[in-house]
Amino acid sequence: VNPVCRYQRAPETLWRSTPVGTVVLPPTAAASLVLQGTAAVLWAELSEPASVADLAARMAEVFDASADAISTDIEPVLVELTERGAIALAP
Amino acid sequence: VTALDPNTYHPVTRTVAAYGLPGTRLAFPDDPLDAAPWSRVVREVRAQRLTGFLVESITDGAFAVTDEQWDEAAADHLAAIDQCLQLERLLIAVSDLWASAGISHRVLKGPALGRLLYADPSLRTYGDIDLLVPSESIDAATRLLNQAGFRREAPEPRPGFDRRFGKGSTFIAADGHEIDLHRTFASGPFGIRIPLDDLFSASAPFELGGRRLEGLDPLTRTLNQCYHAALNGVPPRLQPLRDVAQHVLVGGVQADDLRALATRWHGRAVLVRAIRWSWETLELDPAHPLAAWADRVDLRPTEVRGLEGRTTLERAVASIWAVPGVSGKIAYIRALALPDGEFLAARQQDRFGRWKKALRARGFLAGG
Repeated sequence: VNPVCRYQRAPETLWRSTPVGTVVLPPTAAASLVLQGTAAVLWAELSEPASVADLAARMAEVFDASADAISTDIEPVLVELTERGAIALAP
Repeated sequence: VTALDPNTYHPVTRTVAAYGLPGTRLAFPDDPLDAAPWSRVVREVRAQRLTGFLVESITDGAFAVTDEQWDEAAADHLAAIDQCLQLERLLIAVSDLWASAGISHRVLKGPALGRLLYADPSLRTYGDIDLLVPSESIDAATRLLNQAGFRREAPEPRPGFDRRFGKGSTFIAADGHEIDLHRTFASGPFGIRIPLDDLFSASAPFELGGRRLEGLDPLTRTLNQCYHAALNGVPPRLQPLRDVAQHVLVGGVQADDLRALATRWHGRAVLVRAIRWSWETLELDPAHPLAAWADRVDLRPTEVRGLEGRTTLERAVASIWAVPGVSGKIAYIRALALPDGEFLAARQQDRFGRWKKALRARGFLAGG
């Protein structure tokens, strides 16, 4: 994950937040993903372009944890969401 | 108006359908259901596409369930949402296709109601996509769907029937998902008598997947759900009854405006039936002005003609008087009495066989 880059939801990604989790269908994916726990909060934070540091800082407040620990948790999720086309790098 | 059997649905299923509506007398039991009633409720909730309300009632603490029951409800809802997202992708593709050809259209029911009527779109799940296009665009819209690989479920009786008289038709995508292409809201006389220009005179926009789509304006949308609730057989499905109540009790639709539009459409009987069935099934406050009106209004015999038609033939016969003009009536009768071979072949019928079958079913003809 590039710390300088800013990420945001791909505008064509279809998704729905539910009490069970957030269901995400990227533009070209055959199947949807279900995001729960930290990943669902991360998705909510991706409504606006944000860097890993921005995201970690905001989520650290939500979970009352250190930003470093949150960073470690969310980086692989960001990689997977990017690979699946659910999120994109913001210009 | 046909009375409903109160035992058609389990009381808890009806409570799920009414969850969050102001004034409902339905309430959940204090303790989790035993296995047998839970099994029935979860099956009905799935079939009636009410998983959003079930999950919300549980997470709100209104409906007590066991851990296993919660897992089942959650899994059902995730599956329903996954299907909605797949359908929305299809909706965007078709909307883009038609928009690029200049075909105006409106999104009906699920995807529009989830965003325009309910606070949370995940509450309102659906199993197909319904789109309305103007009569003059039906042929072009159909042609584009065919070119894009959609398979029409059944051919029209004669060329031009859809554009002139039809409710619409169903198209199947390569992945099996369905698109219902509508020209009007119902088959039979009530659909024929809707002034179709009304349906496009206003709209309500919503955003989906980075696109701006158009739904119906609130008043037209409410009557659309009334037609859906009242004219699709007995027992009615719970979801359209909920939608009707949601429009009236939460959506801010004014009773006078709704009655005036229903009168203009010659659809007062449809409105009365939809309101009565919704109020009765969801046990809503009978003192609401619209419910009180629906309970006491006297409908003329001409207003209820065709309301009870359940078979295609019954609806077709009841439609003849509603088709405007003598030449229109003749064309309508001709299309249904002497349909094209392709139409008959799709139904594995011949021209005389279908009439014999209809007459036999009504005891006018002997034999099996």
